[in-house]
Amino acid sequence: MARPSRRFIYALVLLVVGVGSFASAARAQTFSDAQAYRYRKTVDADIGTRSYIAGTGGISSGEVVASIQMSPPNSSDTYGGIQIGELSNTNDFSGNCGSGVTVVFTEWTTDGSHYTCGRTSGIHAFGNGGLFAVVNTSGSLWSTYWNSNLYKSGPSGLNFTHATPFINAEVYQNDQTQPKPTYSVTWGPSGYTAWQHMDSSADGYVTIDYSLGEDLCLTKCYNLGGTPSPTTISWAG
Amino acid sequence: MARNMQGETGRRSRAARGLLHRARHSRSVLVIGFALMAAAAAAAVLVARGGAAQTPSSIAAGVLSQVQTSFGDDLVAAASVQASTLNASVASTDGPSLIRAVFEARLLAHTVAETMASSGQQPITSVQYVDKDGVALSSYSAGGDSVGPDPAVSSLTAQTCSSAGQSMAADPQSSVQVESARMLPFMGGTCVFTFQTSDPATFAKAAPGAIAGLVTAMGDPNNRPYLVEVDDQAGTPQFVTSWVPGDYGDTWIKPGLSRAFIP
Repeated sequence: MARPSRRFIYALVLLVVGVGSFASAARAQTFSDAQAYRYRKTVDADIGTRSYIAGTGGISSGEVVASIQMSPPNSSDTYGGIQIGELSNTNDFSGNCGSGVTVVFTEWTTDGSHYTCGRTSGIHAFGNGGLFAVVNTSGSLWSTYWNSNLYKSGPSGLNFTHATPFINAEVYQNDQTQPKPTYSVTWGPSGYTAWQHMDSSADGYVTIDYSLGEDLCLTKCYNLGGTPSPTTISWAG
Repeated sequence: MARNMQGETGRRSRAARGLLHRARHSRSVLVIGFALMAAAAAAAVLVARGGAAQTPSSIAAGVLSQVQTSFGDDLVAAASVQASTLNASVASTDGPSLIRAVFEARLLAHTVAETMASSGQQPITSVQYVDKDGVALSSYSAGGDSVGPDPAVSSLTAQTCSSAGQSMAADPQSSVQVESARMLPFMGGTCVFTFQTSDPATFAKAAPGAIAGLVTAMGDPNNRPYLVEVDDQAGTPQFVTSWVPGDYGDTWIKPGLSRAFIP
């Protein structure tokens, strides 16, 4: 399978590799994780992506994440990326976006070392977050939107003007003595906005074509179902 | 092997001496700092009682002085208010010190907003981080961060921060030792931790659980500001994360370490 663009996705791959290493070392008895991506195979020519996200993600110890993101062109040798989605974690898990919360969040990195999370409370059920979008607003500025409202203006340092859309799904379980997590989330469910992209012609959003899609299922793979849109990602633990 | 062990012992002794010196120095700085803050607070009260109106800029200058004294640094070098935005000039633009600088700037902004509100002024609603030339930092929101009302939390005691730090160190998964655990008087109490580890990789992997324990021990999860820095035995930062109510998290992780903490 062809590799996706390298910067942000590589950072995320490192996350999985690192977590996987941990799973076999210090906390092998009490840890599991899974992460999967589906992305539109392009030449990093898009200036936006959006999708309605619906479904459920339940966990007793750890964190579940469902998001869309834009990652940068292959040509760059630095990391960077911006995502928006929703996450739910438990009190025994703390991350860059808080602890014991179910929220919409935006996160970006300009260098693969420094990650900034901005979030807002008010979403009380994972999977019911609505319509998410990441859009280039001018130059290398990207912003995220939730239900068509500006959620966060991204940083000026992303340094890419076009990128590749990604779907991102994650489960991170702290304590395997707890009930196994459940996860079944659909990007672009029937009757709602599909997973779409907008290319640099800015002629509007187009539903992503399966022939231009790629899957990247890294650890304890999820079931990636359907065409790119709707895409249902599920994991029974 | 024996040479390596001697080297390790030597480094630890020097590190221990350094830590002791730093601890003594920190206590001195803390005492002086609280004295200066008390004086600044008394001066602010006198000004208020005397009827002299505090301008947003004078409030910002006063709070900036508190921040610099409390942290014992000048990572936030200057602050000014323009309309409803606080511009915080920070002395670092990348790496782990940037996390610390912006953490201080966020506390500054919240305290300025609260001070303005308590004196009957319209508080600032956003903070912009700029470099020494006034240019917005490229790794933060181009639109600045919003600044809302502080959450209602009980006042934190210095013992709480210390106990929370010890509890994280006691977690065998964390692989850390407490270097310092300070309580600073911002937003009802802020904990600032520095830990040391001989195994940064293990800590980075364990960070979600370890820091969750720390947050729980502090109380009021997500409503209590904190900064955690984990250094290696040479004192070099490996992992720095901060949280400020208003829903902003900021994390720097040394390249090559696990990013389990990052969604």
